[in-house]
Amino acid sequence: MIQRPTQASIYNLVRSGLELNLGKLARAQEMVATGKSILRPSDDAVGTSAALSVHRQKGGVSAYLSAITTARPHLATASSQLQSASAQLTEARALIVQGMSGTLADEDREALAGQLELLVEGLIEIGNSRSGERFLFAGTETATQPFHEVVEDGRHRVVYRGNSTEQSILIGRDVELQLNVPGDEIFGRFEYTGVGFAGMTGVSTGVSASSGEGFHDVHVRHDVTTGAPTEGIALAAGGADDTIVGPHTVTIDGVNGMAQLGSGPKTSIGTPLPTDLTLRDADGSTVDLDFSAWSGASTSFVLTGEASLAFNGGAYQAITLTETDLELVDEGRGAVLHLNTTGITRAATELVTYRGTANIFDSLAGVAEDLRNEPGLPLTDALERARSRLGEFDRNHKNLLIATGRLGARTDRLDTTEARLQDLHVHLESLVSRIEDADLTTVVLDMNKADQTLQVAQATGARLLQQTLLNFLR
Amino acid sequence: MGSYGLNIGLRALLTAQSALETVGHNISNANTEGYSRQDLQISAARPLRIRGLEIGGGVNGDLVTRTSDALLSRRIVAQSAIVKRLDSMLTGMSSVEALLGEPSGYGLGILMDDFFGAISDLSTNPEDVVFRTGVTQAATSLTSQFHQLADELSQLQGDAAGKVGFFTNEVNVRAAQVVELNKEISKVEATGVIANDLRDQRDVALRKLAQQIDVSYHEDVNGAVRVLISGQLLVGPTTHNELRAEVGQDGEVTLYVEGGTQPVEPNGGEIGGLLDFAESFVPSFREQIDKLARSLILETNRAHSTGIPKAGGFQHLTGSFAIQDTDSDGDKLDELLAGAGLEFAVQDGELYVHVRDLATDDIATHVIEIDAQRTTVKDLLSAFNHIGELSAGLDSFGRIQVNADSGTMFDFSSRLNRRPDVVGSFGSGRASHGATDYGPFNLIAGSTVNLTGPISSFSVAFDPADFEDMSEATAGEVATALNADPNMTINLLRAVAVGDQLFLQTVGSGATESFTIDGGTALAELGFQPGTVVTGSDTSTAIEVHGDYTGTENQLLVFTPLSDGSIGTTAGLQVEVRTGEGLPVVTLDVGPNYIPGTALMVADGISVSFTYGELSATDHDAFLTHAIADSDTSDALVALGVNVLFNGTDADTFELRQDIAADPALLAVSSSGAAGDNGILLDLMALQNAEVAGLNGSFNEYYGTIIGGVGFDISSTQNSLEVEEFLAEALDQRREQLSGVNVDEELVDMIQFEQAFNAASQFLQVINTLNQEVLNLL
Repeated sequence: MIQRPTQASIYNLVRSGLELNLGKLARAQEMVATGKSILRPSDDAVGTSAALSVHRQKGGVSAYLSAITTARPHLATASSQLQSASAQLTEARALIVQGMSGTLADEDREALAGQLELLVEGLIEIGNSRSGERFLFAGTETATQPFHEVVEDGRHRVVYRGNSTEQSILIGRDVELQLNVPGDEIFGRFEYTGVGFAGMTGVSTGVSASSGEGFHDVHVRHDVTTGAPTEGIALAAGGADDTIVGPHTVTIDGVNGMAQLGSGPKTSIGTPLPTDLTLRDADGSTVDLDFSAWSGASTSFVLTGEASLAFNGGAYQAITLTETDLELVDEGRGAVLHLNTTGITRAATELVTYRGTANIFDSLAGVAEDLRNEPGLPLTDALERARSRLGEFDRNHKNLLIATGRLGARTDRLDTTEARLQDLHVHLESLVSRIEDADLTTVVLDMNKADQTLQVAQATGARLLQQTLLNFLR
Repeated sequence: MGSYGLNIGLRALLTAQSALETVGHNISNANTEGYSRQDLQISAARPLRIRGLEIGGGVNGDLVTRTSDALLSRRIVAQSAIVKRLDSMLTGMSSVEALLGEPSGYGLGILMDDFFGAISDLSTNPEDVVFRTGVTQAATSLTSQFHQLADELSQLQGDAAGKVGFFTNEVNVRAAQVVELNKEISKVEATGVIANDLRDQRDVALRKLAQQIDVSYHEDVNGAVRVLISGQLLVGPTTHNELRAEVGQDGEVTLYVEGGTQPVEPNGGEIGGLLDFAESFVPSFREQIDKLARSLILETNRAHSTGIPKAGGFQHLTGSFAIQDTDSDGDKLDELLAGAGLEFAVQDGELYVHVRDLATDDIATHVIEIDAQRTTVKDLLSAFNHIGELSAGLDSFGRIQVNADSGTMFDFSSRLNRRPDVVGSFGSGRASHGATDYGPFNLIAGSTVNLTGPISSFSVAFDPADFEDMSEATAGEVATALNADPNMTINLLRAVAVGDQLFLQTVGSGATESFTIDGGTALAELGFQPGTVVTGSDTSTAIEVHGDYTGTENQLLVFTPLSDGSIGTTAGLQVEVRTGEGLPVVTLDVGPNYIPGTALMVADGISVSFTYGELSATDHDAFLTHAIADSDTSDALVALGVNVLFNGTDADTFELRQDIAADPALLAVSSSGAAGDNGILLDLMALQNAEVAGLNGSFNEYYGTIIGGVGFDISSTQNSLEVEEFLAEALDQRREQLSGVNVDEELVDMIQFEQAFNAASQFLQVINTLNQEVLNLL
C-alpha cells in the first residue's frame, strides 16, 4: 500500500510493471521459438539434471544401437555363407551315396571324386569368408585366415588357425551378445570318443588310450609267408604277393579239384594246373599258390604270414601278433595310437579314425580320395574306407546345421534387441521431451496472459501518468 | 501601527515567497536522484505588547529542512551492496552457464556419449582402422572440449580480476567525492544551517560507493562521515585512503586500503560479487570438471593399460608420468613408488607381465609384486630386468622405459596361457625330475649338485656371485647358475624353474633320454634325492587350457599328478589342482574314463585338456597357469603412464596419448592378443555406466550433478537477487514515500502560498490604504 505516492514512485511502479510483463512475454517467446522449456541449466536445475541423465541413457542406447547396426552385416554374411555351405553338404552327401555304389565304373567314381574335391574347395572358401577385412569364422583371431591346407605325408589336410573364442558386443548394461560362432565349432567340432578302424586288417585298439585327430593310416605289410605246402604245392613267387598275416589254413579237396583258404570261397583249381592261383580268405587276405607239381591228393596245411607295421609315413617295424598294447607315435601330427595286434589276419592299409575329431574338409576330401583310389586298393577296401569316413562327414554336417541354427538365433536376438532398444530410445526421447520441451498450450496461454497484463499495465500507466493537477490549473 | 502592520505584511510576503521558492526547488528536483523533498519551516513571529494587547508579529520562515530518514538511507546503502554483489555474480555465472552448452547438447555430455559410442562401434570391428580412428577422434574432441572449458574458465577468472581493478578506481573516485562533500557539509553546517542538497548528494555518493564494495559509515558531530571497508578506514572527514587491487601469480586478487596491512575482504558490491565469482564459484566448478577429467583418465587408463595393441604386443614402451626425485638426493631410483611424485597412486598389488616368443608363440607369465610403501623405483626396474627378455630403465625425464629383446613381445594383459607347460615339466617326453622343496633356498657357497649325463659325470658348484642373496636363492637363480655350467650343455641337460620349484631335464625327448642325479651337498636343500635315475618317454602329453577366467581374484593354479601312469589308461590316475597358496581347487580324473584331448572343468570358466602321455608323481611332474582377473591390481601402469590411453591429470592437461592419436593401431583393445578380441573395449564401455569411486555415481551421473549444481547455483542466486531487489525497491519506495516530490502536492502548496502571497499583498494594500487615510488626515 502506497501511503504517499509521488511522481517518481508512480513512474517506477509503471516502469517495473512494464518490465516484468515484457520479461514474461520475452521468456514465453523464447520458449515458443525454441520449443524448449529448459534452455539453460538455471531455467530448471532439477529438470536439467534429470534431462542430462536421460540424455546420457539415450547416448548409451544409441551406442548399443550403432554397434548392432555395424555388427549386422557380419552376422548376415556369416548366416548366408553357412546356408550355402549346408546346401553344398547336402549335395556332397548325394554324390557320396552315388559313389559308394559298387556298380559304378572307375571313371565315374573318379568324376564324382573330382566333384567332391571341388565342393571341398568351395567349403574352404566359405570357411575363410570375410566381411570387410575380417575373417568370419576365425573366433576372435579375425585377422588370421582360419583354414589352411597343409601337406603332410603327401596328403592334404586342412588345419584351423583361429581360436575358439566367441566375440561379444555389449547391448546393455552387463548384457552381452555373441556375434560369431568360431570356425572350429562349425567345420570341425572336437567330440573325440575313441579310435575306430575301417576293419581291413583285423587290428583293434590297445589297452592304453590313444590321442590324436582326424584320419591316419596304419600300414600292415606282408613280409614273408612261412609254412610248408604239401602234395607238391608250392608258394607262387615265394609268397611275395601274399597278404595273409598270421596262420591261415589251406584246404585242398582233391576229389572236386577245389582249394580253399581259411573260411574263404572254394576255388576250382582247374586244368592245366595253374602256376599262380590266388586263394582268398573270408577276411580278404590272399595267398598265391603254384599247383604245377600238385599230386592231385586232398590235403590241408597251414601257412603263416609275417608282417611289419608303419604308422602314417613312419618307418616299418616288424610285429608279433601277440601285442595287446603296441604304441605308435606320429610326433608331427601329435598322434599316439595303442594297438592290439592279436586280431591281425591280413596285410592292408588300415584307416584309423579318431572318431569325432576330423573336420568337414578332411572327411570330405578323404571320401574323394577313397573314391579316386589312387593307391589302387581293392575296390571293396576303398569303399570300406569311404564308408568309415562317412560317419565323420555326417557328424560334421549335423554340427554345421546346429551352428547355422545358433547363428540364426543370434541374428534373432540381434533383431529383438534392436527393436527393444529402439523402443527404449523412443521412450527416452519422449522422456527428454517431457522434461525439456515447452508445453506449447501452456506457454501460449501464459503468453496471452502476459500480453493482456502488459496491455492493461500500459493503459493504466498511461492514464496514471496523465493525471496531474497541472491539467486543471489555468 | 503602520510600521508594525507593514512588517507583518512584509514578513508574510517574504515567507510566502520563500515557500514558493522551496516549492519551485522541489518541483525542479522532482526527478533528481537522491533528492529529498524540502520544507520551509515557518512559525509565528514573536508577538508585541501593544496597547496592552499581545499582537502577533506575523510569520517567520525559520529553516529549510529536508524530509529524510538517516536509518533508511543507511539500509538503502547496505542493500545496494547486496543487490550489486548478486547481480555481478549472476552475470559471471551466466557466462559460465553459456559455456556448458547444456542441456541443448553441445557440451561435454554429448562428447562423452560420442566417445563411448565410438568404442561401442569399434567393439564390433576391433581390427578396423576406420573405427579405430573414430575412437581417437572422439577422444580428441572430448579432450579439446575439456581444454576449451578450462581455458574459458581461466579467461573468465582473468576478466573478473581485471574488472576488480576497474571498480577499485571507481571506488577511489567516489571516495574522493565523499571527502569533498564532507568538507563542504562541515563548512556549511558550522554556520547553523542544514546542507540539505549536499547531504542528498553525499547519500547518493555513498550509495554509489556501496554498489562497488560493501561499506559501513557513521557521521561525526561536524556532519562528516567516516567510511569503512571491512573495518579499515576508506574515507575520513578530510582525506581518503586509496583502495588498491593486487593480482597474485595464480590470478588471485587481493585488496588493500592505503596504510592498511591486512587485506580487505569485501562481501558485497560489484567487487564482492566478482571476487565471489572468481575465487569461489569458478574454482569450485573447475574442481568438479577437473575431478571428472581425472576420473575419466584414471578409469579408462586402468582398462586400457592391460590391453594389447593390433601388433599383438609391445617391443618398446615409455611411461607418460615422470618419477620425481622427491627427496632431492639426485637419485630418482631410491624413491618409493608411493612417494615418487606420481599423480596417480600406486597400490599394493601385483602386475602380470607376459613375454611372448614370436617364433614359437610360447608365452611366459611373470608376476611383479608391488608394495607401494616398500617397493622402490629401482626394485620395480630390477623386477622387469629379472625377466630375461626385458630390460627396463628411466629416461632422462624420469619416465619408465621397457624394451623387449628382438623376437619377443610383452604385454600386461589378463590373457590365459593356452599352452602353459612350455618347459615340459608335466608328462613330457623329456627325462624330467622336479624337486620336492620350493624356493627360496638357503644355499652355501661352494655347495654342489652332482649329475651323470649321457656323456659324463660332473659336479656343479654354486658361486655366491650368481645370486642376489645366496641364503635366499630363488629357483630361477639356481636354474641359471646350473645352466651356466658347460657340462650341462655337453650332456644335453638343463635346469628350469617352474614357479618356485626347480626341475632338472634332458633337452631331448624320448624313452632313450636319461640322466642320474648322483648327489652333492646342495641336493638336500634343493629337494632332490641322491641316486635318482630319470628317464624320458616316447609320448608327450599336450596340455591345453581353454576358456576365459571369470573369477574375481588373481590365482595361480598348480597341476600335479597324484600317481604315476598313462592318461586315459591307468586306473585311478588323477591330476590335482591347487592354488599357489596350496588350497585344493579340484581333482581331475584322467584315468580310463577320461578320453584324451577332451576338456575337464577346473574352475571359474577354465578347463584343461590333456592328450595321451605318461605322468609321473615320482618325478614330481607339475605345471602352473595363472588365472588373472585383473592383471594390474597395483595400478602401477596407470601411475607410471605405461600403455595408457590418456595423458594428463586434469581438464587442462587431459590429452589422448600422442602416439595413439598418430597411429590408432596402438589402441590396446584386445585382452588376449587376438585381432578380433574386444575385451578391453567391453571393459571401457562398461565404464560408461559403472559406479566410479569418488564420484558418487557414474561419469554421466556426476556430470549431471555438476551441470545441475551450476543451474541450481544460478537459479538460487537469481532468486536471491529477485528477493533482494524487491527489498531494495521496497526501501526505495519507502524513501520515495518519505522524501520524494509529489508534484500535485507541491502544486497545492504553491496555490496555498500563492494565495498567502496574494493575501499578504492585500493586507499590505489595506495597511497602505489605512496609512494613506491617516496621512490624509494630516
